[in-house]
Amino acid sequence: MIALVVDGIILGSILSLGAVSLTLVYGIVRFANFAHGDLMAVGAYVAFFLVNTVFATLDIPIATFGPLSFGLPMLLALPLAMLMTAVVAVVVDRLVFRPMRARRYATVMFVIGSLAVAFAIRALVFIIWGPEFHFYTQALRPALKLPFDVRVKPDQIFILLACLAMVAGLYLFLQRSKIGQALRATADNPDLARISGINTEHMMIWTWAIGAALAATAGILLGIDSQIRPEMGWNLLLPLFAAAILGGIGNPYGALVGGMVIGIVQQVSTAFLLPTYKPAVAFVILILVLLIRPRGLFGSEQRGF
Amino acid sequence: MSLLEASEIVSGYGDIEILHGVSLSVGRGEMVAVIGPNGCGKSTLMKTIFGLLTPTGGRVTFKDTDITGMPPHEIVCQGLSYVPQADNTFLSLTVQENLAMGAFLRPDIYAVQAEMAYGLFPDLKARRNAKVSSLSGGQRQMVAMARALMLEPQLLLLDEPTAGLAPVFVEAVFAQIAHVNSQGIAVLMVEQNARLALEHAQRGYVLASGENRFTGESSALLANEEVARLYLGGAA
Repeated sequence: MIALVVDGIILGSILSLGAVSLTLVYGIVRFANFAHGDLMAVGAYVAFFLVNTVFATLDIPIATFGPLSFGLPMLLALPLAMLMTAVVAVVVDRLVFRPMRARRYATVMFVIGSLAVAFAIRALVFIIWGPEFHFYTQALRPALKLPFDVRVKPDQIFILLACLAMVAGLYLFLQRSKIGQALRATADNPDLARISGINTEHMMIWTWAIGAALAATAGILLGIDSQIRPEMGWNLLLPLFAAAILGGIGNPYGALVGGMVIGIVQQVSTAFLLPTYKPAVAFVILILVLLIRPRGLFGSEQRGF
Repeated sequence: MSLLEASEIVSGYGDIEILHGVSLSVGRGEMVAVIGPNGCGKSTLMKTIFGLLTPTGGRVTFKDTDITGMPPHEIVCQGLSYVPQADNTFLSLTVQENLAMGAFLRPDIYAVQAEMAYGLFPDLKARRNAKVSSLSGGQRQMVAMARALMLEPQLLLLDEPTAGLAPVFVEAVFAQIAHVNSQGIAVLMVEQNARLALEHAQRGYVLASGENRFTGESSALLANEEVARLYLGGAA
């Protein structure tokens, strides 16, 4: 049981990072982005391409760090994949969502638009990398044996720490930096932000770039933990939304907690249910939240975070 | 020569035309009140001047620059500032962060301007790290005005600054507006509290059904029988 909780924390940390970025984007662009999971996949595949195709020919030293399954190549690929995924998201915004904003489309049109983007991205991933599974490495790493029969792979400890570091970094960025404050102001009251001299179109670009970079990180960490598949992000969309809504949609700090809760409950549920029911567990939590506390744990009537 | 000149403004929401050719002007350092019944287009006029609505006709010039159809984040650079009637603060941000957003385009003058704002509204200084959502209605109105003053505007647009405030605060807000005006900042305000607004302003415009109805010195408007009967709730 404790082992399942530990597994849940690892899964939860990835879900948290995905949900935090999903809800950050929602808070500013004001629609549910169904392409978020597929941005995670883009990040994972770009890193795969860099590590296993580009860097493999470059003879980069330190192929693995100690007990971890990856090394310097992955550490170099991570920021590049974040950047590439951010570029993809910003370009998508330019091509798809910005024209829709200019014509003042209804929110539902943006959601359907994001669904189309999700399908398009996944189709491209299929065309470029094929439908089969990929792994960053074939190397097997022994798990650490901890008390209470808990086994944790060193990679998983890295995943947890990386997720926490990313969310902490985002928190500092939003609270301390000028752009971060302007993002919060835009989420809180877009008209007043414009009146104050904030170019909200610039804030859209920042939002997509940051949201996509964090999604890419979540995708890469998921790929390190399990495998890389074209539908890896799409399959996570339901738990991500469950986590975001549980935490209060639009509130990144709530999504952090929401992701942990969903991750732990999903893993612990496998003690009683077949693992194939894991998505259903997220769905049940989502329905319960909507019935009992639609604002989520940390949501409030007012906008902003 | 006037600071702000709006001529023959036609504007509204989508297909619904609210203003059918409204004109007004504000001189340097002047305080001007726009009054009129609910739905006469007072707020629409403010939003159109500030670029939140694009007029379908007419022209807005500020210091001889044509600002018609300019986006708000560019208009604010020209020396105009706007306090909307509702939702005029960032509730989830602290007082200090609200002021920082007011000076978003000029971080270099933030510190000086923030001190000026705290000097003008001493109540805010003690609550600078409090979220605006925890403040009273009167304090929120101070935050809204302080935010708008951060860029050293030459003209402040105020949309119903006393709406929803308890009567005790109404006089205080008017006193603050008068104080701001006394520093040389021109004020264009839209007010429900028509009599008080005219008593503080030098000139006034009466709008009705999206058109100019009466224009003149405040004292003349206050003395006008028809204005008094229709818009000031009683005889002159």
